Amino acid sequence: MMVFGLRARTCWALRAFAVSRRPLRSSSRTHAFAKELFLGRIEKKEVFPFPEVSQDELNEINHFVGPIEKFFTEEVDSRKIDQEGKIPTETLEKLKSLGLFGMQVPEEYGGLGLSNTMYARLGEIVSLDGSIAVTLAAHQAIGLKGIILAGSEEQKAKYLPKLASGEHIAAFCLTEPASGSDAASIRTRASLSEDKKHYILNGSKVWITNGGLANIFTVFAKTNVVDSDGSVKDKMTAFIVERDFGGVTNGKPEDKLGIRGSNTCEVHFENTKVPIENVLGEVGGGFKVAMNILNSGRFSMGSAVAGMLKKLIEMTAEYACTRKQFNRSLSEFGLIQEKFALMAQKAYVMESMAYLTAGMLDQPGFPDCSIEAAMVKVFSSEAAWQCVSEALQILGGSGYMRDYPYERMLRDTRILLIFEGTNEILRMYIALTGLQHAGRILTARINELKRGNVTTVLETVGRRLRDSFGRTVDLGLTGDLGVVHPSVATIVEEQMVLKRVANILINLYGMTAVLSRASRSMRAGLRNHDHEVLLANIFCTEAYCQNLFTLSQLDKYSPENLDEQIKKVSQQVLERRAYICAHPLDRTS
Amino acid sequence: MQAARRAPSVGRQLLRLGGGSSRPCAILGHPRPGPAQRHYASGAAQAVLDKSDSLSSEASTGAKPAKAESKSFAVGMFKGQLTTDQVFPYPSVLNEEQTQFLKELVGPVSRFFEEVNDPAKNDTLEMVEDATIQGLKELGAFGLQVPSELGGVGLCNTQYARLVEIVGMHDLGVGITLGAHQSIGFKGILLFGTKAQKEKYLPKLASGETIAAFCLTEPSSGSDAASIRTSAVPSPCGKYFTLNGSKIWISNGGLAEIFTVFAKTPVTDAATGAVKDKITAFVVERSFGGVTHGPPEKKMGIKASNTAEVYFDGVRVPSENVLGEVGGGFKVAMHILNNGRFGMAAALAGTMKGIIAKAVDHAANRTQFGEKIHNFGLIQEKLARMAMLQYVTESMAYMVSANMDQGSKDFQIEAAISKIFGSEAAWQVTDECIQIMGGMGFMKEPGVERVLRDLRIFRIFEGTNDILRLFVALQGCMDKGKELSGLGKALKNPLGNAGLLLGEAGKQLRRRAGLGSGLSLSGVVTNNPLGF
Repeated sequence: MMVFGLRARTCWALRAFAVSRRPLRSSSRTHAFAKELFLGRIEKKEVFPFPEVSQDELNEINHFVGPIEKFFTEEVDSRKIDQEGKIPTETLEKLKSLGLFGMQVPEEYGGLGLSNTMYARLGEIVSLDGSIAVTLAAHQAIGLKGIILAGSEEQKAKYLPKLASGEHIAAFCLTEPASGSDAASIRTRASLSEDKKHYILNGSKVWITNGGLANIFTVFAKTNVVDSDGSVKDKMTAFIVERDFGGVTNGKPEDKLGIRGSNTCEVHFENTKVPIENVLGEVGGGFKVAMNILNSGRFSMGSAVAGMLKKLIEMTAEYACTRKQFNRSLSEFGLIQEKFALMAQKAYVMESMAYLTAGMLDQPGFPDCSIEAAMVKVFSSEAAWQCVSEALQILGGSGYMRDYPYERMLRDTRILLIFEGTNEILRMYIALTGLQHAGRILTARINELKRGNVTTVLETVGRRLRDSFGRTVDLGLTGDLGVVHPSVATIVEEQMVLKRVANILINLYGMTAVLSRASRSMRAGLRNHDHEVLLANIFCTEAYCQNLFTLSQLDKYSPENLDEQIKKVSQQVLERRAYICAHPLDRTS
Repeated sequence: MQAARRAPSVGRQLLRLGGGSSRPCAILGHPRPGPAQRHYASGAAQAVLDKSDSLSSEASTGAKPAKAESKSFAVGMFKGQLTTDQVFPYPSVLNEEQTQFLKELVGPVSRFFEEVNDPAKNDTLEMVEDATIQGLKELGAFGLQVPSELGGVGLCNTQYARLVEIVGMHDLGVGITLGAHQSIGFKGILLFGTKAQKEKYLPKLASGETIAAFCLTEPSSGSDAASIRTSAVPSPCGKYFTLNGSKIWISNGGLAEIFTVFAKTPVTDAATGAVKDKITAFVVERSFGGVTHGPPEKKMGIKASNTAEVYFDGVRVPSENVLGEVGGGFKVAMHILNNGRFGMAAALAGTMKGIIAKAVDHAANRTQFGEKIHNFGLIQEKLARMAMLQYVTESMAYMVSANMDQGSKDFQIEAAISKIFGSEAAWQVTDECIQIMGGMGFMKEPGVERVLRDLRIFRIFEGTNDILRLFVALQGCMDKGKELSGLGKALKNPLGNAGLLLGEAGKQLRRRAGLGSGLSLSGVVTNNPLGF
């Protein structure tokens, strides 16, 4: 009976994105799941059944998992790493000997050659220490990733073996003082030498993880590129820069809120001579290289955070079952139980999203999963922040003390919402890329989109979302006759709308992932699969309700939509550069 | 029925959170049928619940039987009534003179925090710099609410809130040091002390010559304050008590000379002759001997404040140092905490104001994508919500402080609400400020990460938000229950009958929220120009 009840609910949740089957043709051959969602379509074959790994692969993963888990639980002293602000040399050496510096480097270059799925699995363990996880990720998820993705044979042969062994450490140098989310605005410059054999690199990068340790830097700089029409333009190019090239210096390690054991500093390039063979990818193609690197790494945050949450659940459950107040275990109190359900649910959802995405990425043909990966990153980073804080709350005063790991974990977690694309930017990315895809297929007006006119597409997508939910949504973007509203023309003005579109899509992807996974678990008869069904049901129901509310907010004329008032408040605050209300004690006299 | 009859003793362990007049209660779920396990607790509960409690009525800030209709808005909500006396029009309690006096204080205090105090340095040193402490003493900041005849500044709650707001804006570590001293550390002496106790202790405390600490929490007793194990045994001669026990996480524990300590004492019931353990509050001087403390705790934030374990080992406390009545300590503790919460909301309102200024400043100067980032909708939305949260917290804080200054005895629910709301709002506001600043916010240098670290404890201490939420809901239900004669019996067993009580309160709340049953705020709310 129970099962029937749950099934019924699950179906109800599924209806949330019932498909409208219009025969629309895609121009691209790779149908990434999320992009199709924007068209109101579910590419079922992409997500059902939940990806399976072969027995061989499973054995291979487990072969790695044991020793690494042992090392992290027995030898890594996270408290010391946090306090001293560095990872001890012997810990780094052990990480190297475990092969953790070259997890995704192909075996022929001395790495472990892990698939994305296997990389995700090891990420669960590595994340038990935030500083180590960030150090390793900066090295291989972004630092050397460019060489794997865009490097020539020579570059790979020259650099990857030493990087995979950890003899060399890599760093990714994109961010600059004036260029954070807006990566295209960097000012570091690389000019071709007169003999055309070198680029001369000048500029400063900030907040470079591993900046003080690295020997090899993936650096992005502006270069002059002669266009096909003969005009000279500034375009971004990626370079592999060795510290030994000279002129590479770094600042003091930054003092940070969390991940204090990771090394973050400024890196300066002063007349650094970079041989032209060290251009990564094409001259002028650097922006694409940067985005590909960043897009390819994000999915792994899901499993990393899930690994951390699983550990957190174990620790706090132990505490909640032993600590007594009011003569009962904390575990008997409803408010504490709610926190455990939340942690379990979030861990389950992000784990499902992460492994679904990893499975898609491991399919042949380099499918484009950048939206899915971004959704995993946004969901898992926010869930991490929320859950660690709740875990700390379970511990009460102890949680705030540095004798316990919770406050450190909370501090470490905060950066997840900021780095590798802030969640704000990623939400825009999710919504816009999806809409762009939808726009490409639905209308011929892609140029309008490029000019920043998303209204047409938004309107269409709004209609589709309405179809799926059986509700009417008026985005308020069009005039009486469906003419594009003249005052609404730029992306910038539509951020609040785009954020909602992204939130809906993230929920839909999460729902799909848990439904797919829970179905597989039931079918395969995995242990505790009824627990999975419970979690899936809770998440789907809550996400469905959230989506309905978000959809109602999308309607410009609904009472839930406060955008105009919100903008007005913000405008007034900004005009005066302060909170402007008179003090409650002020009088007119 | 067996269960129903016994449940109160468990339920009432929580009932006492609020202390004072309205019968506070909190329930952590329905009771399991089974024997009540803590006899002393039900006894202690009785002491609070009994109308004939032995506290002098002047001392207790609200022990009057609730014969008169409560003026509290929150209490009214639970009855399905709009009680607007305390909330419309927005209370204004300061007279001309008080306003003027406050004005004269605001300037120098603000300047002191802008020019002398260095929050980053305090954080790094893990203590408030000596020069700052000295300066604060000279400003009178250690005795803001001590009457002027006893050497303090003699501020009312509202004036106090205004100054605390400035402290909260600049340095929460200093705020905790000052708050632990006067908002809870010696507040007991102000509220419950005898004339002799006040005269003996308050002048030195007000000048900051001695520092106070509040010693309630123990390793096994956090939210469940009634379960403390520290004991005070009366001497056969009746002249002193011998105090033994350990307290943890005591703010100012390593600095204080005067401690308000809560301990179990054996109390003989006059009627039955049975001896029960009840909590009693004591004023303990470090110089009594046997008082030691542990090393300062390493904390996530509020590092400038000193937090330490405090041990009492055979400390002889003279009988005249009992604070309030013997056996009345739980009530003393709850009164002190209830009285202190409004200050927290005011401090956090100040914190938010400072943080909003930083966020706005960054948003207005940072350029990305060729535009100042304040032009982006997502940034605007964050700033608008931050301003809103600040406005609500500030409005609550000064409403509660004004109600207290007006002599309201019924502000516990509102004070708890303001603490819950303020601590969560400030966390959110600061979190969003970091998000607006991006990587910069995560770095130590701009000082926002420090505020975030400092803020995390506000959802935990002086009553965790979880416990306070239960307190808010159940105290409301209790009061509600009292009004409904048919539910009189249910009240005797609030835990067993929580369903009934909640059902009734829920019905009323629904009626209020949904159908507009004729009760309306029109007439008291000024028509707004936006037309909603």
